[in-house]
This record gives sequence, structure tokens and C-alpha cells, in this order.
Amino acid sequence: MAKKRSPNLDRLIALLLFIVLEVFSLVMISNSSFFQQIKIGGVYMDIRGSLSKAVADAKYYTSLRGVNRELAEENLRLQTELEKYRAFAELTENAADTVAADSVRGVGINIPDSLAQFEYIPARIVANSTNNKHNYLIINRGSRSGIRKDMGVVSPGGVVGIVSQVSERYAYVISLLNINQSVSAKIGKSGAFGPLIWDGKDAKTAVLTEIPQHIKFMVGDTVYTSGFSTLFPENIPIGTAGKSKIIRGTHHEIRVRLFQDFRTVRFVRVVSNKHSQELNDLSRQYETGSK
Amino acid sequence: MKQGVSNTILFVSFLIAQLLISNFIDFGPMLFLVIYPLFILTLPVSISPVSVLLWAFGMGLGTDLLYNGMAGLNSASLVMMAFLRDPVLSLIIRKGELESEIRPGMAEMGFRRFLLYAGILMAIHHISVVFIESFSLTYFIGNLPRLLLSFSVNMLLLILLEFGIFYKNWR
Repeated sequence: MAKKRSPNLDRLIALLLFIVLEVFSLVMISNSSFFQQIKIGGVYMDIRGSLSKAVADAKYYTSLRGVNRELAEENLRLQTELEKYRAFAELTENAADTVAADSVRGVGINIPDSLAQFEYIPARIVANSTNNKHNYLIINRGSRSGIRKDMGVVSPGGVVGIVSQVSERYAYVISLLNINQSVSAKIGKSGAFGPLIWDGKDAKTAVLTEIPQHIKFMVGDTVYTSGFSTLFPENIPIGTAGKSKIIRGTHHEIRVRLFQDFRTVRFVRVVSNKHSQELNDLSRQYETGSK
Repeated sequence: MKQGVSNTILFVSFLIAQLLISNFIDFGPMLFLVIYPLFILTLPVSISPVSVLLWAFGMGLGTDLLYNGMAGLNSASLVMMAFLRDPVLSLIIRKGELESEIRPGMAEMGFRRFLLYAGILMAIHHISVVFIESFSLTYFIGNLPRLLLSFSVNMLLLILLEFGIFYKNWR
């Protein structure tokens, strides 16, 4: 059938089709929101979610040992934190301040929940990739659990990523291991901060850039989140400083060894910042005012 | 008709195999594993270029949508490979065979010619994957090890698959 036509016409059709398909693919790549709109179509996201869940369940079964260890570590961390508060409670009791002591002893420290700026929503990862330059995760909580776009995602080992799209039951997270992603981080006690980016070379390291040249730090210093973005609370440990070099004589570029192994992470917490609305409104006011 | 059915079955099996590989095997960012180019490589010689392009686009889009990576990356590079399949094939295959219905596999072409044929097209595919992914030439040095490592591992995988599954059974 195709052989009846002249070969030149055939070749022309193939060329046109090639161009159309290639342009379509490139549009999908460059305009990622287009793809995510399809994803957010709900049906697709749910199919993709349940498919990923089946895969994740299979993997989960084979990695129970690691998951146990991770949970034990998280328990230990919470335990030490609890001890800290116990010590604090005893201290206030000894201060003979009976009113404060009563409020502490009864049902715990009597601080209203509304005072806390950050709330955590636990979630499980159902899909994860670490072998691309643009890595993504899917977690099993969505708008139904109160997750919204642009929330931070943390794990026991540090920062995992930022929520990009939300459907009813799943959320699509841009991993820290994505060359377009950056997280504001600071180094050690000096508190010099700069964007932490991933250079796409190794799933275990990231790069902390734009640290001024006069800042002193040691190899092995811990790198924390800076708390300057509305996404993450301050002082979440991310990794330790490794080799560094000075770029253009003005700033350090420090390799950071991440605490979190992105291949084994299973449980995460989504950070909900209650003040983010307020902060964003404020900065928007400022922006419109300055125009 | 019969060819269409067997192509569809092969298409689905390659897609499932690729999804299993990309979901369960992870060697970090320096190495990506692909086996789906083998499907496009071994479509019959006589098939029209238009249908090769469509098969390639379907395969790439399927991988893109069902695996969480960058959307359009696999389809763009596989369509590129499919488009250049015919010129490469006409370079390598003997004149008389171009009109026949043979499958350009190892058994039909011989090991050396198949290696050359697959090598050229896989190189095209891998170069497009790596460069479309970072969208510029600035990361060229950083991308080189990823390109070379993935290319060599995938070529080995492809030869093993071709030899293990198709070569023996079609003989």
C-alpha cells in the first residue's frame, strides 16, 4: 500500500511527522505545567498513584529491615527531644513557680497548639526516582489530608523536596535531587547561608553555593536549613560539609554529604507553615508598593 | 495483519519490561537503563517510516507517562532514533534485503553488522537523552561519563537480550 506511493512523498510525510512528534515532545519537556495539568486530571494521577503504590509495596516488603532501623532512629530522636522537655519541666518546677509548674505537670506543657508555626503531616512515598537529572517523588497524601502546593517535605534525615502538584489522594513532589531545585541552607554555627542545589552527579551529595569567601568553616560542619524560606523550619540538619573550592575569588562552593539516603527513604513529613499566607501577602504588598 | 499483532505483543512486553527495569533497578544518576530501543531497532525492514515513527512515539510516551521522570524525554529521543533508522539501515543492510520483510536482528544480519547498526542508533538515542535532559551543551564534560557508562551498559544489555531471546528462537 505504502509502496504504491512515490518514495519521495513517503519520505516527506515521515519528515513532517518526525517534526510534529519531536516538537510535541519538546513542548512537553519545556512546559512542564502542561504535563502536570494532565497529571492533575485526577484520573491519570490516581492510576499512576495506584501503579506506583503496587511497586512501592513490593519494594517495601523487601526493605523492612531498613525501614525498621529508620523508625528506630526516629524514635530515638523523638525520645531525646522528649527528655529535653522533661528536663525543662523539672526546671520550672524547681523554680517554685507553682502556676507554671501546674501547667507543666498536668497534661504536658500547656502551650496552645495554635502557637506552633509549623505542623507536620506524615506521609509515605509511593514512587521515587534517583537516577535522573530531574527526580520526582509521589506521596500518598493529597488535598484531602490538607496538603497544598509549595509545601516543604522533610524526612528523619533532612530535606526531601517541595510539593509541586496535588491531587485528591496523592501529591507530586520535586525532589531535592533535581537540578532545578534549590533549598536555602546555612553552614554550622556561623550561620552564613546560601542556596543548596544538586549538581546531578551523585545521589548522596549536594552543593552549597554563594557562601562568602571570608566565612570560616571546617570539613565536617553540619549544614542546616536556614529558615529564610517559608517552606522549612529552621535548623533541620541536612548534611555535613565536605570538600570546597572558591569560585571567582568571591565565594565558597561546598560539597555537602547528605544525611538522607534518597534510595531508602520511605516515610516523610509534609511541613505546613501556618504563617506562609501572611508572609506571602506581606511580600506581595511590598512588591506592589515598590512598583 | 499478522505482523501488526506480533508487533503489538512485542510492544506491550517491551513496555512492561522497561517499566519493571526503571522502577526496580537503580544505579544512581550516572547510569540509566533502557531496553526499549531494541523494539524499534528490530521492527521489520519493509515497515514504512511513518509507522516506525508512530511506534517509537508510542513507546516513548508510554515510558514517560508510566514512569516518573521528565515528561517527553524518552519520546523525543526515541522519535529521533526512529527517524534516523532508515538512513542507517540503508547504509548497513545489503541492497536486496531492503524490500524484504526480514527483521534486522542478529540472526539475519550477523553479529558484526548488527553491532554496528545497533551501536550507531543507540549512540544517537543516548546523546539525545543526555542533551535533551540538560537542555544545553554547558554540562558536556559532566555528562560525558553518564553518556559513556550508560551507552556501554545498555549496548551490553541489548546484545544479551537480542542473543538470549531472539537469536536462538528465530534460528
